[in-house]
Amino acid sequence: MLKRGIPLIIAISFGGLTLISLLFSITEISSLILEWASFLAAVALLLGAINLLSVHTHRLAAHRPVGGQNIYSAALVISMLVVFGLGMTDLIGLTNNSVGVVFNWIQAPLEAALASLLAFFLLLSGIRLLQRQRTIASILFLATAVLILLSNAFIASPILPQSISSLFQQLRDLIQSIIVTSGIRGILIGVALGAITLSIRLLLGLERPYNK
Amino acid sequence: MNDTLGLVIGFILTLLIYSYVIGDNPAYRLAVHILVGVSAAYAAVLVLRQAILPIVAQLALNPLSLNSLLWLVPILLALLLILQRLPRFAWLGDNATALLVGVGAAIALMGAITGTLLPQILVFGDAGNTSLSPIQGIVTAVLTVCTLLTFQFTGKKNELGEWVRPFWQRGFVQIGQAVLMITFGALFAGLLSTSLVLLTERIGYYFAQFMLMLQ
Amino acid sequence: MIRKTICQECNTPNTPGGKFCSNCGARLPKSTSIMCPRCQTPNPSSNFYCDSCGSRLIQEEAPPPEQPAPESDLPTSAKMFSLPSRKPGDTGELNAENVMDWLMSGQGDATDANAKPKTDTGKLPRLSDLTPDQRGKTDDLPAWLVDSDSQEFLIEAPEDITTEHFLNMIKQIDEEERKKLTGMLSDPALTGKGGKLPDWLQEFVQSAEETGEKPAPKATPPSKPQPGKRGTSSQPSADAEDLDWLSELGPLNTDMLAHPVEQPQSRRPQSEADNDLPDWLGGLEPPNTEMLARRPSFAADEPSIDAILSGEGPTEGIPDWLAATGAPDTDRLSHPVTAARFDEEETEEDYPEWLVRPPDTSELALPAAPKQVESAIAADSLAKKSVTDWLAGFEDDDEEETAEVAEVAEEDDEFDNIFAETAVTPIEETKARKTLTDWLGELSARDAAEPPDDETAEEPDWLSPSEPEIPAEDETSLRFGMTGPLPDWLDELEPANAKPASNEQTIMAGMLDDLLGPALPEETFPAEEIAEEIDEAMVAASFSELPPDAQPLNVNEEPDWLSELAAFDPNAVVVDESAPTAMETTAVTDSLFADSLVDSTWRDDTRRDDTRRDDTLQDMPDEVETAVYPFDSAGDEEWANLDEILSDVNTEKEELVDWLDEFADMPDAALALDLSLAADDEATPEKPLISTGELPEWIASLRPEDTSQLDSLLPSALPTAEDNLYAIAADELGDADLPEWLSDTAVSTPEKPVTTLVGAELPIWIDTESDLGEPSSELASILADLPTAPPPEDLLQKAEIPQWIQDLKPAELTGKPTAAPDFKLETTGPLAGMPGVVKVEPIVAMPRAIIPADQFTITKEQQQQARLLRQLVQEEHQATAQTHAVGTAVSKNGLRLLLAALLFAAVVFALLGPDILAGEPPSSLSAAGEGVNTAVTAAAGQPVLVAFEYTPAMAGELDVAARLLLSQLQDNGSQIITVSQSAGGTAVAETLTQSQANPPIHIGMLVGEAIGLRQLGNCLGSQPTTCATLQGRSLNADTQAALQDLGLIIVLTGERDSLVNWLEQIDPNTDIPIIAGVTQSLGPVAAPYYASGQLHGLLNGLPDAIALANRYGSSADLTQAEAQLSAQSLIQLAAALLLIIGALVLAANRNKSSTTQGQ
Repeated sequence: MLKRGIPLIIAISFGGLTLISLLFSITEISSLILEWASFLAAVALLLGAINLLSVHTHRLAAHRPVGGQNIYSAALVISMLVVFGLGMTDLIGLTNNSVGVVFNWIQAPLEAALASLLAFFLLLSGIRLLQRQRTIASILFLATAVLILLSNAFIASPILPQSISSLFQQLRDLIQSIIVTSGIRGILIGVALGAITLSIRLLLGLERPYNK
Repeated sequence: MNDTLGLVIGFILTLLIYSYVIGDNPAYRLAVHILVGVSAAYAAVLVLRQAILPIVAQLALNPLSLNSLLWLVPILLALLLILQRLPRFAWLGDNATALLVGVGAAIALMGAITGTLLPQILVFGDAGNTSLSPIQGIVTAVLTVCTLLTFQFTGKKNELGEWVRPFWQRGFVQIGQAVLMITFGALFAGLLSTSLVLLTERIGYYFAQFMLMLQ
Repeated sequence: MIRKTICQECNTPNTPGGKFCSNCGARLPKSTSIMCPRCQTPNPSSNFYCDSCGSRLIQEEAPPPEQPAPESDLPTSAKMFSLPSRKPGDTGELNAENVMDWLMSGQGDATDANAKPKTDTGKLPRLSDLTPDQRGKTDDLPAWLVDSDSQEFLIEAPEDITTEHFLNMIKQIDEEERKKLTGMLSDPALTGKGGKLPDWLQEFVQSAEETGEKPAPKATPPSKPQPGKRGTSSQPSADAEDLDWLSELGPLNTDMLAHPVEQPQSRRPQSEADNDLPDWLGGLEPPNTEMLARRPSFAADEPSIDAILSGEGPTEGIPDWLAATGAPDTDRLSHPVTAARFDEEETEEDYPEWLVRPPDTSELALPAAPKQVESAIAADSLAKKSVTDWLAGFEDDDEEETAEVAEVAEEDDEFDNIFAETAVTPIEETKARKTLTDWLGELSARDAAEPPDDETAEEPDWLSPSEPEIPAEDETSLRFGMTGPLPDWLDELEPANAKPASNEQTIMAGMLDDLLGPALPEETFPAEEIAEEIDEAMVAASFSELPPDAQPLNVNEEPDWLSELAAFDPNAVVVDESAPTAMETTAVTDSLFADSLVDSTWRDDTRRDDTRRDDTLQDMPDEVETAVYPFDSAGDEEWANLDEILSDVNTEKEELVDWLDEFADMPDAALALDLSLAADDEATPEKPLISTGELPEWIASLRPEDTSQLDSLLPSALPTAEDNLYAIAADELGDADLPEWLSDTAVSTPEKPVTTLVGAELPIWIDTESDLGEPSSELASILADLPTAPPPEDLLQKAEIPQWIQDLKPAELTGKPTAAPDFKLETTGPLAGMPGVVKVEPIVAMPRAIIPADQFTITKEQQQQARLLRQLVQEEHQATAQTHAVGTAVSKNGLRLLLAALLFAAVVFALLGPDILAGEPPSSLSAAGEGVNTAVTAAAGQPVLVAFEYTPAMAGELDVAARLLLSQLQDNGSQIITVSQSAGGTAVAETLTQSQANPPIHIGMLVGEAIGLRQLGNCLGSQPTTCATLQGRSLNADTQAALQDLGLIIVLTGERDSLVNWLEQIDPNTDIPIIAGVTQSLGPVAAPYYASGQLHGLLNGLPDAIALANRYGSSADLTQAEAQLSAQSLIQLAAALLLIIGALVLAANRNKSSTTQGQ
């Protein structure tokens, strides 16, 4: 009873308090609670990183190369320790913004490369779409994508005659402003309704993701 | 010099990432593991530096102030959160998680209602930046309703035992699905464009940097 | 007259007393020998209680024995078919000798030892080892089952299925039955304390008491007191002390028992056969002379049954289990003299249990006699005294036995005292005691002790049937014999509806001979002869001293048969030397007796409403009629003389030997059996005593109810003659009247109907077709009433051969074409070259990576097997799958490389090559873009919060917008405050704002996403309170002031959540305009927010940014951005073309592959 009851009480009471303070703009209460929450969020983020480190450290200690897993774990652990160390040295002031440098030299290019690699895989998936699934929906999907891409390409290009490029423009605007917006709006409203439903269930204690 | 080193390291890492085009290979995996390690450590460092240490410092400044005493509650909860790593006391960590869930639910509820639902529904006439004609407006509203009905999955069982939507809803659903496909096509095109931009930027960047180095 | 219940439906003869026909299951008409006193329902003689009302049939009955022998619950016939089972735990070594012959298939002829195929000792020979002719001769399996290659294989199903196996089964059954019977003989329940002997035994016991036969010498095992042997010289008087009635039974003719049918006629001369039977049977000639005449004769050289049983004869062919039991030393039974040696030489262990344990006679309760009978019994109780002490004679060291004997002795004394006053000389008294069976003595003693008026005391029926409470109106059925109301079974004896002497009765008579062994040989020992004469005299005297109050039976009421019987004095006939030989006189007397009995009882019967129709009369084969039967029509004069004889003796009722009373008790079948035995003996001396005809009722009743199952178990094949000692000539089997339960196994040729009437000549009253003149009117009337019986062929059900046997029939028999064997040779794999290898299942064929399960320890052998299996599977799989894998791998990598190369080339070409599509840079700005400009322009001079919500991944697109905006803000003199929800964004912010002239305020990272933004929202705008600290960080006054004076919020993001969080947590709570710079992928998502006015402006990726910059000019270095933007056109065109071409090419590819798969 203790194990399950206390977390439930904490969740309902703090949620209710926050809701009431936001509704009635009682900033003192809401800010205090938000402070505590954000602090706990920070601690949770830190613990997450530490957990990642301990998992890969165990893999290293286990000496069982599961498909060469040790090398990758070693790389992860070393990179974490290096960056963490640099962060501490930054903190201590031994170094100056070394973490930023690491970020720029390593993280940024890696992330950018990954993002740019996305283009190749998007094209590949688009090409295979008709090979895998030949339905009206997929044809509609691919046609819209090609149309938008062509419109992006030709609107600014003088190759096509103005009429065609303006036709492209109007078509793209029509699609974008009416159909896509309606679709996105529908999706957003749907998502909002979902969020509202889930929040109410959490506040009433019907959903308890915190009880393991 | 540093920049060149950075450039070369970046280039090598980029090539490791681009090796995935041929297929999954150890180089790509190594690069990804490095990325995860660096980004996790960077975030931890940043959180530590920007969120935790200031609070500790503040409390250290004035430990007996009312504010500081009040901060004992989150600190205690934070310690319980740390205990969650020991299986026997893991249940104690649930209290901190419960607090986060409760507060987050309240905020999401408020934001969804005030930030999305109401504003997206109550756009009338010239409100907002719509430059649609009334017909376009009605069409947009109808299409939005069709999209929403497409997400309505409740229905009735027919004789054959299959779940089917009510008859009146079937037409709207067909329209909604078409709108969604077009929307997703547009999103796909946007994403492809963005990624093409990023690809172009990467290639252009390295191309330019090498040109600079060559020059 | 042997009587059998004929089924009305299928005309099959059934054992009397059975309720349902054994063949077709139809309800049998009621035929019984005991009439229920209360509800007049006829019941089989073996019933103690009435079937319908449950009232006690037999009045005087001692309480049932405490421990009825466990086997007695099951009917004998059921046990007959159970295989000889070992005691639990007695596994014993399975060696060749113990295995029953029928198990040793393929042994071939038992006699042909050297023809045995090579077999390992203890193992059955394989069919393949047998030579073709051995297979042919293998009797163990029916020919059509034997997989014989020989061509002369019988095509059509064999008519005459003969198999040693079935013979052995029958022998085994008979062995068990013999064991069962001998068990019953020594079963205390039946013979010991209070145990009620089966009717046939009681009668014999009682008749032994009446005829005063001398019991066998005491030392010998109990022998049955000899009933008055009609016409035959008295049984040699046994030792004065014990009438060993069991020894009278003579050597238990196990063979006769086991093979009543096969009992070869010539095996023992008639007289010897007589000796085997106890006296009481000895006189009884088997009625079925005809059947017996046809019984197969034993080959001369075959050892006599005694020799076999005594162990001297060859043991071949005797089942081992029987041989193992050792020679039961039946001599002891049959030869009283040798019996004495029994005790000295043989120890208890050697003899089978049934011999060793003396039957416990103390409990034997003799049926109570009604008042009148008591006095009669008292008068002739001396005769009963001579009842064999056989029960008490058993000396056994066992204290319990001796205690019982002591008890019996005391009762004997009482018995003696009671009768002390009778005018019997001491010598006679002692003889009487010797001659009476002790158990009878006790009973009489007990009876005498009980108060005479105790009507309800149970009186032994056999002595004097109780007076049934017969309803007044049924006066006619009230009959009183000499000893009071006669039992109903007597009615049965009357030739009601001309009941023919049925097969069963003959067989039963024959079975009795088997069971009880041949009657003691005529030539008895001198000492016994004298004793016998004395006994006879004594008996005659006792009769004459019948107490005055013994009311003579009312002649009028007495049935004629009794009166005739009364006149008849078997002893007189027997003693008279000049009279024809014993056998003849016996036969005559029997027949006379039978005839008279039959005659009178028949008249009584007709008065009853017996619905049974004797339709078998018409079906009676001629030869049965012509069988030599003393009462044959040709012998009318003889019959006439018989009448006179009977009438002379009418007055001498006293001389009616008590043993007749026995007949009062004997079930009609047994009586008929006796009579028929007498007749048979007479007619065909050389016939064995027990015809193979009817089983005694008590055996027949044990036959399992549902014989259909037996049919399927016992194929109708009977052993052929040459098989072994007991072979029966095949053709004779057809005519033999097998007992019902055996008859199913007899090979009966359809055209010869099973003779239902035993060969004995039918008495006049039955033989409707005899030329004795018109049948009596009553019989004719009855016959006329009965419905005509359908011909037997229609009724006979076709034997159902079980399906599983039919399936076993080889193709030659069924005529079906044999499927050509699949001899496709295996080409690949280790099994290459072998025919008919079954293909590996596709599931198994799939190569599957074996994930080593840590917790299981895999031994080396298992690994090798797994490797072998995998090799098997993969080899086969690889052979087919190789071509396909290569194809797909090439195509897949090829496409990727091709696409990557094309894309790379497009980008490089777009970046470096001429701008084919180069048009003016986009100057037209969308409205959303205009909004951004407007907002930025509006926020000039105000602090602007720039939220860097993207990471370096999106930096490629957003940096342009960010720089543009930052430059604009810079240009507008706005204070830039940077904030981010993510760590990456913070770093980006720091990186982008490094080169700013007016260093921006870095709030830093807001932890907790929406929570952080919500906290920030509390500090923005014109809030009443200033937030000194934000997420623990103290904000300096400038920042706080800037936050409160914030003019614009710019959200730069490529992620929906980040954008939505800003719009949901900040926008509603502040009036600060929010503009967003988003990527092209997020553009559509942001549009609704722009449309709803939540966003005041929206830069949709690079084009908008470039457009904005081109529109409003910017100080930021956007050259590279512009270059990228122009390349975007070409690249997007290339992407579009790639999409279209690729999709179409792959779609076409798919069609082609689906058509090839279709083919």
